[in-house]
Amino acid sequence: MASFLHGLRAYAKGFATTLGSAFKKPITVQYPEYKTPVQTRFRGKHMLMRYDNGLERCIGCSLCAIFCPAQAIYVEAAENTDDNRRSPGERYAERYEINMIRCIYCGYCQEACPTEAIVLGHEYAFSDYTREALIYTKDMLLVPDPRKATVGAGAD
Amino acid sequence: MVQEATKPAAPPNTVTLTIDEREITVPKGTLLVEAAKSAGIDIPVFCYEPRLAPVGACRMCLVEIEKMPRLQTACTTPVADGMIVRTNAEKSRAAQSDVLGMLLANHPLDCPVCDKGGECPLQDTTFNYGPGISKFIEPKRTFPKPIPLSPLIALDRERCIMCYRCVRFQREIPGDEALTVIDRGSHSEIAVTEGRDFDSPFSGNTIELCPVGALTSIPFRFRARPWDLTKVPSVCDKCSVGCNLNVEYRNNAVLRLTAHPNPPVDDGWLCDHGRFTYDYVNDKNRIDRPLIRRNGQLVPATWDEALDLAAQRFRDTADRAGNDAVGGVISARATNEELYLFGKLFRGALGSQAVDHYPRTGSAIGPFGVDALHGSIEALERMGTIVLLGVDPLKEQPVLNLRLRKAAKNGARLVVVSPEANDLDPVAAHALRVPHAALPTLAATWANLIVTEGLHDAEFIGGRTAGLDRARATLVDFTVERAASVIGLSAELIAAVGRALAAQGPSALLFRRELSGTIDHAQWFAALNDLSLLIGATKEDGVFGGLVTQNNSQGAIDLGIAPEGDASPFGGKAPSALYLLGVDPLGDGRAEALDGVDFLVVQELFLTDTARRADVVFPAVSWAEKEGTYTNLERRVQRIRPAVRPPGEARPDWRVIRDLGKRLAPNGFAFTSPTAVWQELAAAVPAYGQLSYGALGRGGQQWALPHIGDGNGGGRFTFRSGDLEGGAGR
Repeated sequence: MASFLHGLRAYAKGFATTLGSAFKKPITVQYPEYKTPVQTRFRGKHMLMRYDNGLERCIGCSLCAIFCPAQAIYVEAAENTDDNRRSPGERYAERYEINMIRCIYCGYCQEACPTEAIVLGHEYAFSDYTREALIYTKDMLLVPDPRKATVGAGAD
Repeated sequence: MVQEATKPAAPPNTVTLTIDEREITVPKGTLLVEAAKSAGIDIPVFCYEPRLAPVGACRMCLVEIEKMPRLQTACTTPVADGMIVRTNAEKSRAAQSDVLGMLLANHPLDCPVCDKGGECPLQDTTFNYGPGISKFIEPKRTFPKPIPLSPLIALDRERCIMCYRCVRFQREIPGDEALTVIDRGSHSEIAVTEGRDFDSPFSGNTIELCPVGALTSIPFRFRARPWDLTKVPSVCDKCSVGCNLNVEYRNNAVLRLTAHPNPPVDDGWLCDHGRFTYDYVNDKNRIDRPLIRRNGQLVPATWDEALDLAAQRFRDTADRAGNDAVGGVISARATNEELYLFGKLFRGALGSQAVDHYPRTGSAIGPFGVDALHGSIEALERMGTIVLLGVDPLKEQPVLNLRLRKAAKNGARLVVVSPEANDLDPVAAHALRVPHAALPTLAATWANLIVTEGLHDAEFIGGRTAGLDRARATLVDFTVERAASVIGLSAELIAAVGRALAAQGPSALLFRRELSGTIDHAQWFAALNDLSLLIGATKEDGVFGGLVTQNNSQGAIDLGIAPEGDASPFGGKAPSALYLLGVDPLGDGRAEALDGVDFLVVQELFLTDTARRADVVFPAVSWAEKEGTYTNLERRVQRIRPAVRPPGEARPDWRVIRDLGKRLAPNGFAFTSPTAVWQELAAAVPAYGQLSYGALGRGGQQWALPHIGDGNGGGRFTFRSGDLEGGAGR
């Protein structure tokens, strides 16, 4: 009898917790419809940044590639010309590729970068069906040109 | 009372000094920086370069020497007995740090975009000896950058630290005033001399000498960072010197070639032709699969189809028209292994004697019965006299030209005899303009003059040779007066130069093998052999030989890849089935070589004019893609290694020849690698059998001349009875 009452008390205690939670705001969200915000220093998908005037920050120096412990970065540089100026100075990255499934998101590339060109952003959902599709090329990494974005979005 | 010193006597001509508490004994006259290096003590330097004269321009190597009031530059101070030197004490450390601070005052912080970054002595030295932080807050001196000095070299004046290595190299080594320094003090800058172009054929060396990123390669500009590149040591295939280089590649593309110093051969230099000629390896237009002719068109085929067809037609032609109706010509730039297999394919599998190499090197048998250089490239540095007959090393063996200039600087008297102005004229004791046609007469005249006036080494000639009287009889007509009338130079000049040749001391005689015009080459070589013996060029310490032109001409001679008599596929009547490996007679304006050829097989990198006419085309591979050995002009066999993969389905050339051989002979072609071919080759060619295969990849090895012991000039001179009339060596 004593054990029966003991069991009943346990039920009551358990259901009380359940019942109590039913009226609280849930901490899970309906991913992917809803996403939880990430920490400011979260390291997700890389971005190749630009200066305010639209020029690329990356100078194709390959320091990120040599620092990368996973050897996930491939850079080929080329020379700026007056007709085709991509970055300030002499040199820009002609090819810039990151293997997103090889990357370990350690952020060393960001630390090595002398021009703060590569920044790890907050994007983390980029699954795909093939390994090849997960080698991100420069056009996928480069942020939009701020000047062109203004014009393209038809602001105001 | 006099006490005798009890210290053990140091060997003569050496001095003993103390560097950083360590006692070091080095030869007298050694520079402090070298003495320290020999003891493993690192003194930082920028302007010092062992192959150039010291200047003490950069002040980086300041060291403290006891009893000297101020710090001294280690690169200009010779050692002295009892010197006590400190390279790492407080004073020298402070000086090193301060000098670096000053050098960096105007040096831009653009290492991330600088092609030197990653292999930069300034970076490394700053890391090891630098101040860590800059004291300078003033703006840096700036220049527009970069400016091209030539189509190959860009100058960034901001980065220059004024070590003058480039200017000194150009002046001291190729003897060229194209580079200079303009302005003074902190406004100094490197520039091309007014009115000149920086068109030196050795300009690329300044890129490697530059200790900062001031001089960079334009073809390599921004192509890759040094750490992206994989280096494979190999041997240049552009001429017969065989300079060693690194093939540096990324993503299966050759991006640059750099020197891989092998001092006995190249002294660490490369010529621009060798350094910058590599784009063809990466060319997208290369043949990447076999082609066969169907309905008049060359169409892609499988390897088996192409090999079967070639083998079948070779066999049919041999059966129908005789073995010699199948012929083959292989490039003199092929490896020894390919040459050997090619020879075996024709002589062994097909029984044909119509096999040749191209460009063909005519035979030039020396007085010892050997067709190879007596002596070595390095030995030229120690010559008293060097005679150059009709050769033009600047055009044909560029890096050898640098060695000859070095010899002249070491005191050798150069006698340059050539039809046109020669680069060596300014450093020559005598420069004579003589047309090719008159060279045999001149050689015979000098031989006659020396033997008539008794200027030769009678002991050497008498003890080691036979036939002096017979030789004298054949030379008697070649008087100085007759030579003067033939050549158009004064008799006095010819006689004076001839007498100068006979002066004592080691001597060298280098000559052109093929003279243009109608020349009796037998007479030419006979006169040369006589002259070489009479001036002592064939002594143990001498150098004598005809300079070959292609990177493996010597290998083709050694392996006998030439027909007997006139059966040359390019000489007399062409064979009806012809196999050309790396040879393009149509492109070379020798269309007649293909007259009467019914079936043509061409193995080439590109679809040349000849390949377009072929019935079967095999893709060839470049020297950067294959393994094998080359024999250079001084008999040095050196190994090349594959760096990049050939395009498409292309296979190494030795494999193609082997696969043809397998189809044409029941056995004898079961090789699995170039090394296996080498082993059979070494067993078949006695001179090559003595070589160690391991050594071939580490600087190479000269095959031994029969009359010299070990092939490196250090053996016993066992030759006993040469014949002054030349030809028959004993």
